[in-house]
Amino acid sequence: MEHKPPVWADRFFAWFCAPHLLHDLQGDLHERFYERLRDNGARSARFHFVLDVFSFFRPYILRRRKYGVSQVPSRMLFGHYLKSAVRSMKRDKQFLVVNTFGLALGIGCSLLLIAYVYTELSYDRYVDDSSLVYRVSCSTVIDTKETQFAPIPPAVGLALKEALPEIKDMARFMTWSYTTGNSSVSYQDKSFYQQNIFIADSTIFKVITFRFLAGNAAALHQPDRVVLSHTLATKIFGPDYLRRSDLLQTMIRIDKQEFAVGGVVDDIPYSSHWRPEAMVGWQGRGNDNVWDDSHAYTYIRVNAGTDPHTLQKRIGDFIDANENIKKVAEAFGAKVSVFIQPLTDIHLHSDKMYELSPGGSAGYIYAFSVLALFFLFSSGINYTNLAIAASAHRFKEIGVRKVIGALRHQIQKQFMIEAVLITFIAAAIGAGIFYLLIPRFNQLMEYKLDMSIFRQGEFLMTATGVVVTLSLLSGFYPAFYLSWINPIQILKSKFSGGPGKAHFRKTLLMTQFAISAIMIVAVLVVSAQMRYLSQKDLGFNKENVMIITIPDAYMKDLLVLKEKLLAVTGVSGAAVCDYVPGYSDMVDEHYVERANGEMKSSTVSRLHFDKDYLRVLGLEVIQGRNFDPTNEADYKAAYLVNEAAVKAYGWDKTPQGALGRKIEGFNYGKKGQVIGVVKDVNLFSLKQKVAPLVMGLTPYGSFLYVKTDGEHPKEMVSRIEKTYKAVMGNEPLTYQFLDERLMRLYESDQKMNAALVSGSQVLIFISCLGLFGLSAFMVTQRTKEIGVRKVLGASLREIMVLLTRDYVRLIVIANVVAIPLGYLLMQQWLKSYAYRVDLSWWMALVPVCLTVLLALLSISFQVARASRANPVRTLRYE
Amino acid sequence: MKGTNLGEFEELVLLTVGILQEEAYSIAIAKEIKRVTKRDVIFAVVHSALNRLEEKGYVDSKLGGATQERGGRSKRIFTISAAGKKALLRSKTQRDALWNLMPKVVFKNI
Repeated sequence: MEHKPPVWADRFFAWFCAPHLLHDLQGDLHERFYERLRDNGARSARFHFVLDVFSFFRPYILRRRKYGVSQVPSRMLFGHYLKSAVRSMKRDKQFLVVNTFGLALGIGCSLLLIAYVYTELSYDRYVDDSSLVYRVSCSTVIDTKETQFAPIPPAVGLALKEALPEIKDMARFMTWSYTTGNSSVSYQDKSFYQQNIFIADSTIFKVITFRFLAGNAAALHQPDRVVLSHTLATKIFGPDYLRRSDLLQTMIRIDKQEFAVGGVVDDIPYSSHWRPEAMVGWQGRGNDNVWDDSHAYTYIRVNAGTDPHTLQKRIGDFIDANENIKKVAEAFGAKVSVFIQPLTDIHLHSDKMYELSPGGSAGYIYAFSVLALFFLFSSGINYTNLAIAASAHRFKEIGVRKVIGALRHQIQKQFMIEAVLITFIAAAIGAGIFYLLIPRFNQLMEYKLDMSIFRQGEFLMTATGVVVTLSLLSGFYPAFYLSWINPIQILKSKFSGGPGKAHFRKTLLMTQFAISAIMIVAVLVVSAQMRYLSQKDLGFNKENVMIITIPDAYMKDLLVLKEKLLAVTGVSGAAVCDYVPGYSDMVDEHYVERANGEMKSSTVSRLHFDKDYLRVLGLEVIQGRNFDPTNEADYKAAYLVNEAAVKAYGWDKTPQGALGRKIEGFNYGKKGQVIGVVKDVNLFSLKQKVAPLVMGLTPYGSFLYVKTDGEHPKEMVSRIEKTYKAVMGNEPLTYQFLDERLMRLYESDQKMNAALVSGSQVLIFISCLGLFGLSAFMVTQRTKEIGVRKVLGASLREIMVLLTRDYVRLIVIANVVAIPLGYLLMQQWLKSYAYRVDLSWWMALVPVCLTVLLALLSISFQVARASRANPVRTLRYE
Repeated sequence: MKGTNLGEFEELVLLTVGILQEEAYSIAIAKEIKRVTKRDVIFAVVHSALNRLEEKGYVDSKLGGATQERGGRSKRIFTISAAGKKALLRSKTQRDALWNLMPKVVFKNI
């Protein structure tokens, strides 16, 4: 016969047709084909054959892949799989414990990191319709140098609200205390210092979401009312304050001003960039006509559907056309712009002057996400390797299953079910580990996580997704590997462990140790840099300097206190300054005379201190003279500058030099001349190079620097406290130490370091756990080989080398790949510092030695057992 | 099991299975229906109806003779089962009952 049905259509039919229907149906199709061939010719027959094939593409014909012919429905098998999973777990407890624990540790740690990342990303999303809320901030550009400010002049917000109808509500607030942020709150005879007190527009409740526990949003309309947070109210009135019937008339004092409680709001969630503890009304305190001083944090809520780009453009046009802004810009010689930023972007993507809280860092979000992935990856690899290792005992089981008629996909399903089961047990334990780790994490990271995060739907979904994905991925390879086993070989005992080379498993192991090596490199570099920061000579004296915060209300007693403290034993000096490192950047507009004599404005850091400051910190005047407190003119018209300023303004290139140059402080209205140059020191963060700095003389400042001899610090503090209380009428003493304060500048990196150290320990532990299990497998596989070698005269040492050589080689290769990668990564991080530690070559050796050593340690137990075993026994193995 | 009522096309197929007796396999059934009713039957639809009838228990099937044209594959021969016969009778009785109630006048002008 010449003509045959089209082969492709025939094959296609055979592929999609259910096996029990295929035989006779295919016969029918062929019969029809040949009949047509006879009657109508080849073309028609072929055409109709294809048509027939496609007309059979119907649900009842289609092959059901899951259910073959005469198979027990998998619903019934499911129970059986569970049972055999439980039995095999019971039989092999070591595997169960090692594997579940490894997985649980990985899941627990990564959940913790995911919770952190989730919290960071959910900042300020508690606000109703947070996508409609924007913060208005501003920037000045002077000589191409741009400075961005989080707050804006209070008049700007008001003008914008009037001019632009798409702004539904506008609210401004500013800090109550300008200097230290500390204000005294008192009620009856109770008194304490409180941070985060704000003066706010009454519209604030329309822009930012607050939940009132007592009183209502009208409270801020009256100037003599205060709205308290739940925490502060509890602190003042005790836990049962809501039951007090007279709560809303109760008077409290803030910095000696009387207020009636106008309302209590529920605490703002931890993930908020602004966390007010008390708010008082703007009316009568804020100044609505100020155009030139940025101190009002301004937030707007826009109408739904407003396009931010259009709004930004409209605001830009309005600002450009505004007469008042023009005047200010002219006075500063600056280009002023005002822009909006989404509320939810502030925490992670905004780093302006005078931010309300130190923002999170997108970089750390990435770093922590990667770390979480590392954890999952490492524990997943563990599971895969261990599951295969442990299945050595189960080859016979699989063989018998296959002989009885189990299909490949059924074996796969069985092992996937086991993987899912173990992962979910591990996830439950992991949640427990999460719970146990929270306090430690919060302490390390100075964060506030708690179990309530599990009530957040999105987080719960992410967590479940992670666990399911992990179980599928880690169960995937063992399931496929085991389902390929040839039953004949197994049952004839010829088979002892699948494809002998096990490239895949070795790659997994290498990946695991490469991750560990990268972590070790990261830890080394970060801690080396931290050590460098704490040991670097900053050019001034930072040891044994205690900084006392002076409350605004007691400023007048400052000089008396200073006198009295100098008389205390062990105190060798005291100085007043308006700055502590990290408190806030003292940046201000100044008119500065340039090299050519022209006066131009410049945004520079400034300090105000008294005559003793330079001596107490050991700063050197290298040109000109220090301030002279007896000279009245020095208070009003004298400036010191640092070397960086001399260079920045080009004074060093002129014969006239720095001395006598004119400087005007814009905001504090001081016109003066440079009387001296101070040697460059790193008063600010080492992330930046030493920047230009102007310094003025003042008798008063919010911080008193006390230099002590450093002996018996505890007694020293109590002596100082006694003197302080005697002078300040029993006010509590708030103090800190300069060197600690300086290290606080690198707080986020220190937290990172702490997290890295703990994280890498756990990661390495998980890897070693996996190696421990794997070595047990390897040793059982090679029992006979070892026996034969021993009989033939191999020494104990030779056998141990034989057994460990492979692993050591793998780990060294992993290190060779990982270390350069780790260093490249960390070099990027180091770039965020202007001053950084030199990395030395021995740092590359540490991860190699450490991982090899730990790996040897974890396999040594199994290796020792195997190489000591009596060959007579092992050769009798069968 | 799906519903046990008999669809119109199913009834045709079932009747044809009864008519063809030992020769009742899918192709022959399709041809016979086409010959008698002059309807253009699609082979796959016939097969699907047979499949449904078998699921409902109205026909039984066994594998029969193979031919060269079929590539050595056997035919599936269908026979009408007791339940199938009952279903056909029930259907016929129902219709007859309805015909008996039909007033003669309705068909007067045909």
